Amino acid sequence: MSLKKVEQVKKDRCFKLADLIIYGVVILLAAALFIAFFAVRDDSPLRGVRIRVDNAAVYEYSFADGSGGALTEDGTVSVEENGGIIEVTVRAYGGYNVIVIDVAARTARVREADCPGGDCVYTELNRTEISSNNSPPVYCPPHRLVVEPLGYSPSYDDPHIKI
Amino acid sequence: MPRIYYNIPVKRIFRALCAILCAAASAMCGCGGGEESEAADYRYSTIYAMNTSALLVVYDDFSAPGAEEKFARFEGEARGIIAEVENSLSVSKEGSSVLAFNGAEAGAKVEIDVHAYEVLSAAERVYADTDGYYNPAVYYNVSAYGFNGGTFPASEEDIPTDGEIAAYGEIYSRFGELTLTVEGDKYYAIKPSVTAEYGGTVYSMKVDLGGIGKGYAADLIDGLMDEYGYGCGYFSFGTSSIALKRFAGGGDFTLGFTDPRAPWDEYLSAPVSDRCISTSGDYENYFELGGKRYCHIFSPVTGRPVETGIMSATLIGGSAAENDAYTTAIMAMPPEKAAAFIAEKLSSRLAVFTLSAADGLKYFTNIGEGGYTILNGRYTPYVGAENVA
Repeated sequence: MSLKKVEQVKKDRCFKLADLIIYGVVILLAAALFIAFFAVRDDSPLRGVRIRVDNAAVYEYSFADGSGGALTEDGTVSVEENGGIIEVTVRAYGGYNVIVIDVAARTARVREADCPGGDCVYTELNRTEISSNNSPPVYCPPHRLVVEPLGYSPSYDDPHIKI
Repeated sequence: MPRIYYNIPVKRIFRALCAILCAAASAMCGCGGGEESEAADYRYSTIYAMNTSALLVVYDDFSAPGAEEKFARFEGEARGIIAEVENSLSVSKEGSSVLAFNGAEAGAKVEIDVHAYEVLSAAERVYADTDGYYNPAVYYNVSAYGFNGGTFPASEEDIPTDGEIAAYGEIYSRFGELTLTVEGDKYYAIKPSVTAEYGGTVYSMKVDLGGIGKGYAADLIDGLMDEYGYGCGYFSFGTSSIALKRFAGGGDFTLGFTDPRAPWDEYLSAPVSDRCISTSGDYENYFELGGKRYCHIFSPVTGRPVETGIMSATLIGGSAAENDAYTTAIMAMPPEKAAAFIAEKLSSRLAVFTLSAADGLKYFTNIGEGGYTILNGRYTPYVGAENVA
């Protein structure tokens, strides 16, 4: 390395004040984005479960205080509780779905349905379990039934579409 | 001791580190930068029809005067169109054109509505174009396996016999003889004059246009979005038939392709906008018996659920109704034929299919390099004739 080059390197190797300010701002911005991401994400345990038929809520259960139950008395919903497992049977549009709520595990899934496709039923290949407040709803189109986290509100802010 | 200075570009390295940090932070937040980082203003609607749910999403400035009322009118019209299509194509609803056609005598001339006419016309076109690999008249075969709301076979003995399948084959193989006419403002279908007897029952042709009907509805909603001037949004009918505009602010959507052997996951992604998309797959509706998968897509060659090794097929571009039919046909073709068919007849569309081959899971696509991303290393490119698992 020539002496001139060495002198140039010695002169340039330190940051100037303006550089440091810009880099500091960038680092702070990146850190703020990380913090915002983790603060906004709702990783808290599932608050509760809501079941809807034709957009009308027919059953709700809150894990916080164990409150909730059928929201209709027309025979659409029947509930059985057995050792921390709540079995909700919903009869609609000529069929039924059995939704199992595990109180200790704070999860909900459709165990059984008599529709031909059975897309809503949790299996090894079809892991449609609601386990967090971010879990997507489980749909049973033939019975127009939706099982979703309590307070769930869908967001379409993301350009991602699954096909 | 002399000091040694290395010519290390400290500033450049630091700049690069800053850039990586920023990119990582953006990625973690799901923000692509620019218009996508802004919260989108949207309205959506869920519609239940044809035994599935449809999702309608529109991005617009809903703070503008009259925007809410405009969306309400649009949603009402969309619901009306979907209800009309369902009422026309249902195989069970009283008054539907398809029920009238299915119930008519062989050779009868049946008045149908415009929706049934358009869908049957599209079905005829794709039937001819695919040499019969798409055939909506495999109705009895589908029913015999329990896919039309019946019960799936519980054991090997319940699988339809060769004799039964052959009888149904006599009927569906004559789909090309269907005649469609327009007289004034009325539409007619003349049923092929073929019957077959099995088990003491005489059968005439029946069709199920449910699959292609979803794509047809997606095409109509696509046109309705144009009429209303909605350039951003989408309509997804059961996720298998989609009319896609642009994402909020005018960007592309990112399509995530379902992994057919792990449907909760995705194996491929591609940026797409302003296209109609259809997907058929053997993971959507199937049962297993003796370790074998029987799916709801039927091969007109065998009269039984497809066993070509093709697990899913997707087409992007063109009409969703035709794409619904083409993807069904691709599922029924041997993989080499499917690849050749796409190259020969569907080169104006983007196509992707997946294959279960003897040496692992494969994908085939005509999307150019850089136009898609493989998300799962289990999938390797399909390059030609291979043993199907």
